Amino acid sequence: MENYASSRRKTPPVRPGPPRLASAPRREAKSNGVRSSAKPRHGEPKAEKNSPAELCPNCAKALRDAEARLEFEVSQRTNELETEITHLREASHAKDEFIRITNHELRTPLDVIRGNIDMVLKGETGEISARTKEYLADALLGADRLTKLVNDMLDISRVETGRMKFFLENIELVKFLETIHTEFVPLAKHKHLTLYLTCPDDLPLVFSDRGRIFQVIDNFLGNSLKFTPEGGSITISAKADDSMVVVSVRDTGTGIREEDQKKLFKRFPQIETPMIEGAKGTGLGLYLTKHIVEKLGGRIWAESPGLGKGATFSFALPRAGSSEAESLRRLYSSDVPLNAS
Amino acid sequence: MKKELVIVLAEDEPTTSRLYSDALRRVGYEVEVAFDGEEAIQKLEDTKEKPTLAILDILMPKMSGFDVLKYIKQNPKLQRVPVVMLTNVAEREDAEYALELGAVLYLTKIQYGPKEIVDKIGEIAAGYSSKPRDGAVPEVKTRVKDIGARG
Repeated sequence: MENYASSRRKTPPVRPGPPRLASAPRREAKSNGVRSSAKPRHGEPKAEKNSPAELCPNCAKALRDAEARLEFEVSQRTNELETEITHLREASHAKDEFIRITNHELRTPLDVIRGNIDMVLKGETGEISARTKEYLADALLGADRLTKLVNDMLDISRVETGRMKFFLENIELVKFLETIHTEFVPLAKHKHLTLYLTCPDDLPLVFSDRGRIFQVIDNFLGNSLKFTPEGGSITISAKADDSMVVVSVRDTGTGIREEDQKKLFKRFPQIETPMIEGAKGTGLGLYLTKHIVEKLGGRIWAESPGLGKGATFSFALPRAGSSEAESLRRLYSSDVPLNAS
Repeated sequence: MKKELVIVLAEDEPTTSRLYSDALRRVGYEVEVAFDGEEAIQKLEDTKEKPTLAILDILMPKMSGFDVLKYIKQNPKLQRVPVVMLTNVAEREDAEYALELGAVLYLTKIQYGPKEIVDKIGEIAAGYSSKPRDGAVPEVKTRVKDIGARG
């Protein structure tokens, strides 16, 4: 497999090591206010002839030798450190590449499985029986779940190692939530659920990453769609709260027991929930969303009055112009801003 | 018009190649398959008398899809060929990079099944001039902002 990334992404050039590190201790000695006893005080005659070199030529040579040795050792250590830094950078780059390639290798056969099932299901190979359709639909669900798991694991490895990139901008949440609402209405209808959106028109802008917010809401809505029985409803809402804007997804679903609520944002939380048919997540979604929201300077939480009483999942993100937004801007200033409209 | 369009499909995975080439042929396109980047360029140069569209995978032997795209856009004889990137690399940076280099679309196999991809190609084919290589590339915007979100 060709390493394409290396052909287009240049690793930052390794800077030459700390310049003249060897001379640093001497500069420090000068600035610390301690005077050398050999240095003439104000008003004293110059004592050149009494300098150590004059008094003891052998000592001077020994001093020069010691200094040269020291210089040599420092430059040797500097070189070693530079090599070490280069190796670490290479290792980090190799790890990124490994994750990307593994991800690609896992996705390729999955795409083939999904693509072929999709073609048969859509009747491209001729009529199929209702029963075959059912079997294939289940196979597709399994493949989709596996794909989601691969994606989540890749994102987790990035977010945990600080390699996830964020593309921050001021976002008009009302419009954004309207788009999401429109996109999810057919899915909700398909499950015989009603999807509402309630938010004030004057909602302040948030400073965040559009794609990542979508990922979080997509996860919340996905859970609500899974755990809300037919005839129920899901409500997306948003409100301003001090320096943050809070977005919530509330459903009339199966709810969560109090003792399970703390486990929700852990990996593979193993929560006993009355299962709706077909309801099964990767067990990584909420763990991932928590990390994402926190990296975006926000917080995330869940509330449920108990089993059978529905649940509300919320996250808060910094408002544009807030001090939290400013800290975020500084933190991710090296990430490439998104230019696409 | 549709049947006059030759599609060069560069994809190194044989099963994926068959999946997409079958779907494209079924609706009437002439499809030339290439299993690496160099072969893709060869096939494109061979079809220069006909209106052509290139579909490029990214991770391929010999030359990556990005390198093929660069070659196409820098070569006066090929630069008007619309290029669609079809990949499972769902990274926003990659999508932006491809669009910057001149690709008209960046499609991920995760988001689009073969049928949807054929439809997208149809949108481009519909806007592509019938005269070889002198048509303006139609406006089809990739939703870059969504890539990565669902990646």
